[in-house]
Amino acid sequence: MTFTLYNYVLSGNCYKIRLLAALLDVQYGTVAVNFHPGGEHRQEPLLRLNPAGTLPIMVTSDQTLTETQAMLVWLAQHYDDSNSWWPIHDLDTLPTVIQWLGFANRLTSSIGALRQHTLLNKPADASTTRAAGIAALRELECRLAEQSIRGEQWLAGKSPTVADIACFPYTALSPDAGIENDDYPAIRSWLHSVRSLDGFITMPGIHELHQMRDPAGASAGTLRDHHG
Amino acid sequence: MNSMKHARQYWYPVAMIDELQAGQQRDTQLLDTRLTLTGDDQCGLIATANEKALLVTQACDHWWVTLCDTPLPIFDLPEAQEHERRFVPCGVVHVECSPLRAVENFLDIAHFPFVHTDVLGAEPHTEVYRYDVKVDESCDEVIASNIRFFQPQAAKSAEGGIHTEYTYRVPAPMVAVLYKTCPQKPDAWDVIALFVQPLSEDSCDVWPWMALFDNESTLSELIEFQQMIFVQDRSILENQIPRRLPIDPGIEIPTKADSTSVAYRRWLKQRGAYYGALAS
Amino acid sequence: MRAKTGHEDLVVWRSASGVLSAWENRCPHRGMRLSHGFVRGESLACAYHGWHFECSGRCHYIPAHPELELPRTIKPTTFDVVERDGLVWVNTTEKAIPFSLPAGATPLRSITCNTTLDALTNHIFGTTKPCSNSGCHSTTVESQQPCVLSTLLTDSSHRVYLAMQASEDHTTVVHALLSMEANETQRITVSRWLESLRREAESP
Ligand SMILES: N[C@H](CCC(=O)N[C@@H](CS)C(=O)NCC(=O)O)C(=O)O
Ligand code: FES
Ligand SMILES: [Fe+2]
Repeated sequence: MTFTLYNYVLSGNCYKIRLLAALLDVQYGTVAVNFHPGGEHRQEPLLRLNPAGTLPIMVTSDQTLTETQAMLVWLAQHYDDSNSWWPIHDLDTLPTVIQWLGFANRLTSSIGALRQHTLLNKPADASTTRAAGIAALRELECRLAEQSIRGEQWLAGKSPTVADIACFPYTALSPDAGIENDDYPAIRSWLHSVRSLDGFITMPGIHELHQMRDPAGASAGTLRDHHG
Repeated sequence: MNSMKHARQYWYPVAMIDELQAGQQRDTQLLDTRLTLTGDDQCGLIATANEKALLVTQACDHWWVTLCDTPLPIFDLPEAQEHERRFVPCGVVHVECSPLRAVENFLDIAHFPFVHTDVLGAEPHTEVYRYDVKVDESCDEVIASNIRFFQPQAAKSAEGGIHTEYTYRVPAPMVAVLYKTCPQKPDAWDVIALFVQPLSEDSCDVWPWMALFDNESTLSELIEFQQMIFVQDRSILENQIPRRLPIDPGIEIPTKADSTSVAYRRWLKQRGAYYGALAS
Repeated sequence: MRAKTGHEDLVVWRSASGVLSAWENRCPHRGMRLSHGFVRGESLACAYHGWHFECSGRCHYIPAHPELELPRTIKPTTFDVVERDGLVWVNTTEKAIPFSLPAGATPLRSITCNTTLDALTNHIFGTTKPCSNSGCHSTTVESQQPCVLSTLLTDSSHRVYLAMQASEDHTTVVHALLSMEANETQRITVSRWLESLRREAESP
């Protein structure tokens, strides 16, 4: 087994890992964690793996990772022979990738926290997280609009990187938190680009692009969600 | 009878049984009324609205309350007594939609290929075959039966696609129950129910519950499957306009596949269940 | 995609062959916003039950009843739509007549401001000259509520056109166009200027 993912189906952060693994065509094991209503991630024995009490948790043969950005890098380093998802040799692009990996944490703490509140009734300061979420989306929109002026489609460099995957889930899920993304045209077209990637998988709240499916069913399965 | 008065006669779910420890408190809302829930020493629940204690009862792993002193009896679900089943309360999901829209979506199968793609349906298997709908006079419930649909992964325990059979019951305006082919036990039915707590006419907390035959999956896996399905529906429910359910014909166009929805709307209208509805 | 005019929630979509349509953003079946739907060839399909609508608006396929012959009457309300100078113009009551933009402008970006149209135009043309410190001077304006077109001149003498559309929820969408000759750096400068324009207009 390549790694084991302690997973929750509604978590945008867990989905990040499932998504990159699917794009890189990596097989792995999952353990379903009863995040809601059970709160298992904040109890033993999971706290022994991750005292921070967050998901996902990734256990490889020699280490345990609890930060999604690190997990994305681990996946890319092990399974992306082209070195394009984590462009370690492209020193112009790499700092920008890290910049947007950092930014992704702001999406989690704003839109991610608000979404847990609006979806699962978890406590959160709705007005503060909402304002922070909108500010984050505007920053992302500005970046992507400028990238498109430069003729670029992705957050950093000429091809998708771990930064795009890190920022994708909570941007795509912002409507779940009551923040519509209709007003952000550059974001919308970037979301569409990510959803069009070969091997893309969905999660609840992020629908499949049915236009890419052959209605006769011939290609059904190529865009399958991996559940459980 | 006005819509609020009508809605107040029923019981509504507000919490899972073991959710609140003794002394623990949580605020919530029911039919526009603020409620406070408190766990007590005997593992019971005290629910108050405007400092007045409300009637409380247990059913299907949830606490139910009513705002009425002389409520209608709570619905009957015999499967909840079948102890070889696994009972799975799935946790609350909040939805910004009319409680009636949430129930109606649960009764609908035509959306499976588009909303629950590759799980409960997939193109090209989109056809909804003729089925039976009636209002059962003895218990005054909407019942839809003989529904068949092709499903790629009908349940957590299913391996590969099967033709699934469904029966639906609506025992109260905001309670819906379905019986579907059990992949592991072809002669039995899995039971899945949607218990809706109306916060207001256009927002609700939904408490999905299951009573299944499945000895293999972990509890977390069963909950995960149901939450995945219901949250796929949520983004639809929050984008239907108008938010309230149009109960009179005209604004929305049904087809034969919507016979259950048509019967549900008519049944609501006949009993004056207008809370969450858009009446013309 | 979803768009809003003064009081109407719209779906605006382009078919595979390029035909543009603007409709009421509500599926006639069960009310789902059509802007969540997907384009398949010359049809827009609803995300909920997959009803297919052709460019005229007529529903021509219901997946739950693949064989059913459908009456011509099942369709959402449709509106007149015109595309010119890279902008899409819709009129929800009569024929859509675009403002005439001088030749040579290309779309830069669209940005939504949390202010009313009046507040925004007052800000652009106000005495405080908020734009000058970002390198732009406003010159002229054409107006036809709820839509305003203004022309601005940048330091490098490129013209910026702002087509501003008010929405009922007190937000205003600004579609910015810029002279074709502007280079990448100048375009990014104007994009940044739009961001500061919004920040200033929104600050109390
Ligand atoms: N460790 C951080 C944060 C991950 C995170 O916030 N995960 C959420 C679920 S998506 C969580 O577990 N929250 C804990 C809680 O809300 O109880 C990361 O990997 O990016
Ligand atoms: S609501 Fe659009 S197809 Fe049913
Ligand atoms: Fe559904």
